[in-house]
Amino acid sequence: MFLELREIRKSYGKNETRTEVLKGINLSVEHGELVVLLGPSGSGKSTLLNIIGGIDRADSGEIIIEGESMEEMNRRQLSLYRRNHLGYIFQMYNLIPNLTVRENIEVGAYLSNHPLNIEELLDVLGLREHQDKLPDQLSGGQQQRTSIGRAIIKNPDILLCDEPTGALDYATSKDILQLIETVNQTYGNTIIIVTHNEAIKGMADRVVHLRDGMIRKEYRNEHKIAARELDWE
Amino acid sequence: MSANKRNPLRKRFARELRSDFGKYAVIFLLILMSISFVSGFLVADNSMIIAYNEGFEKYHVEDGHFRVRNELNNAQKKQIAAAGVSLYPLYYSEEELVHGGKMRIYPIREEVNLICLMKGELPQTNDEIAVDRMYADNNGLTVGDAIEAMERTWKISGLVALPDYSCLFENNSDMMFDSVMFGVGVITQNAFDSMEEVTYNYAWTYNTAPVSPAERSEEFLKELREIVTLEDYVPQYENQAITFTGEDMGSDKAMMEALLYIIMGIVAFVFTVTIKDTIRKESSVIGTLLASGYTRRELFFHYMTMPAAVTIAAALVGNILGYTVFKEVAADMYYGSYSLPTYVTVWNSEAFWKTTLIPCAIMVIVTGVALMRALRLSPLRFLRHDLSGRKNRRAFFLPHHLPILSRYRLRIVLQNLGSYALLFVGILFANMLMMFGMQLPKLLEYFEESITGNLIARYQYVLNVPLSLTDSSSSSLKQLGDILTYFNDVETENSTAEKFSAYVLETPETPGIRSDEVMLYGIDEHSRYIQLPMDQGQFYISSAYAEKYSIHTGDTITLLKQYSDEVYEFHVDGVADYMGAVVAFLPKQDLNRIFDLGDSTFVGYFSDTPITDIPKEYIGTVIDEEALTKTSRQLEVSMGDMMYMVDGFAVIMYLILIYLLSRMIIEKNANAISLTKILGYTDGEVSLIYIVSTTIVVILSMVLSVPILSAVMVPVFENMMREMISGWLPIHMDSSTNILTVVIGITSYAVVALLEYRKIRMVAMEEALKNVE
Repeated sequence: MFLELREIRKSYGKNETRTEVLKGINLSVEHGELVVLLGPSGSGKSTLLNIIGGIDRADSGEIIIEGESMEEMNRRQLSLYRRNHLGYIFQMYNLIPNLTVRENIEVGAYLSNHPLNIEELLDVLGLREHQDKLPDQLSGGQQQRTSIGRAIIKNPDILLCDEPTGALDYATSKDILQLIETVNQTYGNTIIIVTHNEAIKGMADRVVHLRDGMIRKEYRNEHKIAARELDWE
Repeated sequence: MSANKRNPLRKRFARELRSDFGKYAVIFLLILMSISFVSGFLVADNSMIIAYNEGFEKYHVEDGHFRVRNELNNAQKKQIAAAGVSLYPLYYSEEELVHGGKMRIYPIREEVNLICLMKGELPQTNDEIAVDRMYADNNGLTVGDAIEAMERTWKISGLVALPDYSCLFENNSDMMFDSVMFGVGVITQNAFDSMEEVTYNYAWTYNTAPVSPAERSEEFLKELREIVTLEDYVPQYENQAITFTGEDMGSDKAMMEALLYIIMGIVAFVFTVTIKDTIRKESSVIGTLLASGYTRRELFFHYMTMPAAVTIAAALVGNILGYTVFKEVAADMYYGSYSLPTYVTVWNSEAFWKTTLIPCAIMVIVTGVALMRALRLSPLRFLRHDLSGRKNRRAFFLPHHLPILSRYRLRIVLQNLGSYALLFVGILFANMLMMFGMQLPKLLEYFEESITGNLIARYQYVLNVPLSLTDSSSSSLKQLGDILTYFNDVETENSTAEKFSAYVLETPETPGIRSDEVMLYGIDEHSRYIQLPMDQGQFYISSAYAEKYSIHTGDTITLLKQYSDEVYEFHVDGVADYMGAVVAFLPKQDLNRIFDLGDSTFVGYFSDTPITDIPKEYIGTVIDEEALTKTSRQLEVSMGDMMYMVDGFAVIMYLILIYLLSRMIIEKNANAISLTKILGYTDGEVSLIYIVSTTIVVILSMVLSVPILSAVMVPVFENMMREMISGWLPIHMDSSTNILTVVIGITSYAVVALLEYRKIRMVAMEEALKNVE
């Protein structure tokens, strides 16, 4: 098993304001799988993604990636874990505003000993002509493409996508989902997409439904379709 | 909104203060320090100037004094009194002290130049003396100590200030006063009567206050010359021992005010950066408030409150500290330089508005304009965090082959150009203070070294020539006798001695330059001391003269005869390498001819060994290494402590400015910092990106400021010296000091860099996720 989550629990607040966000999550993800975590607001899906990403820590439970337990990692080891294994794509893109498109992607490339070729990637992402622009000169779709470029240039083992189409229109969202699908097929990365958009589950290898901090349903998608065929208009 | 409703936004102030306490605390501290010091200085300065000015009447200060060889007889006194003056004997005797230096001793005065008793009591017995308070301070003496002269010892009964010696000039022609080696004291009349060598000095006051003291003095001098043979004549307005203090206190005040306003300007711009930072952070809050119906005016006052409150609080506390603690510090500085009487602190509205109202106005105007500009945007722009003034701003192109982290750092510099420009100005200013504080002692050291290696002769004896010898209008038999006796007595057997002739003229009054008495040396054709071609008509000036007045070979200079309308012009044939004094050299025959002194007249000796066979009373001045370094020694005593304070203040300014601006740059980039951490950069790597950017700017600012300041400070120092002193101190910028300035600056920055690292480490990864809602 590539990634294994065992009895993950997480709560925020103290005493009477204490809220349990994750209530014992168990999940196994195979290498190269595209997993869609579905759930309404407050279901705990982003918290779970942050814990997998080493941004947040679980109160209890264990996360094992390629046989290595994250719970025993210190601050620096966690940084190296993110550097070596993870790519992150956010809803609001989170590009560094004073760096150009190319530089944002190169910031990701710097972290890898064997990054992908940036020239090829710029072409794949359709960002060649925008490479010297700043993020605020780009459309939402172009910004998200840049964000994807930054995440995948280091060819991470796991690509974590937190509502990657949440701020985009329908057409652009489909473009972005196709890009994520291409990345998965071309580079074989494990991809975990967190979304509340039910339609996206169609492109997943496996679907996990989360509600009130618990996995309500988990299944392998036997009727996987191409991202371009997704429809939620 | 109804008038009696309290604005709920007020509740945020306490929270904002708590959350940004560090930032507001250092700004408060910087304003507080500047204002309290300057306020204290202005209060002390003003109170002391008042005390100094009132002292003229309170202590019945002379309108002038003159010296004669013999005591005046009653007929002479009556004749002088008929000129409309009151005459007061102010005899003195001078004693060489065992521990070095000289004490000029007066009997207790009761009519003119009255004594201000600072500590202890006036002498009651013959073995008691009350000495000048500052001389005592500088020599570690106090009440009860003994002062030993060559043949007698006194016990100090009290410390005093004499209004005719607020500045301890031994001779009025001295370049600088000397409060270390020269002191004044008073003893009982009885004790004074037993002194052997007495100098007959008389003070006068006009019976009617003159409209023009200079014209009145000229008239009186003419009348006086008809009655007595003068050895010295010094009207009050020309007496440096009386006037120097008042003039110096005035110029210090202007400098301090300028310093405060520059600092307040810098702090105001720091505040504008913090305001912009706050607006950026609170963009959505502002958008929401504007969209909810709050007016820009209400928000303007809301966001102005904190800067205004910090400034006003710092100004008020600063004034309180100024009136209590720092007033004493400033007063001590003056008491360290001048022998001033006791003063009473005078409530000074000028100090209040200069250190409270003007700084607050600078702060409100600069920050207010910045805030108004920042709040001009539409609510939608605030809600979208779209605060950039320019739409679709283009990225400055950086070559792709540069390593990404280098480009990243350059982008940070480009992104924060405004803050870094402010940082550069701040560093430039702090370095200016630092260099000023460190260069002045080096300058004095350099002067002393260059003087030591640049003496005309180890000793110059200027003879005490009775004024009658230079008074061509008089031709009595008595005068002839005086001349013969004089020339007979002043011959020496010393084989190293070489006669020179001399005449003193003065430079015309020039704005911004403290005028000089210029000694014109008449030199033998084959002088062993002055290696210049002394052909007829030749005229050279010293390099000190050339530098102070910016005179070059080929120029013509104008000099005036003292107490007269006579004007002399000389063509400068060359500049002699002599930094010791503002003097000129010409052939002896030329000098004697020009000033009608007689072919064989001479007024002094150059000598490499002490001359011991000339009666003491004929030796007016001995110019040796000690005399020439008097200025630098006194400046060291007067300004030494202040220079350390200036250095300390500069270091604090470095720390505060760099801390504030680098902190704001980190806060502004908190999201990007958080994001780079999420991407997998370690704390150390993120710190290297952000701290190195600021480090590059700090080091560049430090290094660039050195040549800029060197270029600026040479003329600044030159002008300061031109205004402050008679004579000249050559300006020399010491390169080791420049290096030290940079090292101190960078060391100070290292402290801030550690705080920056801590701050970067504390930026949480959740920061980048805040928008993911």
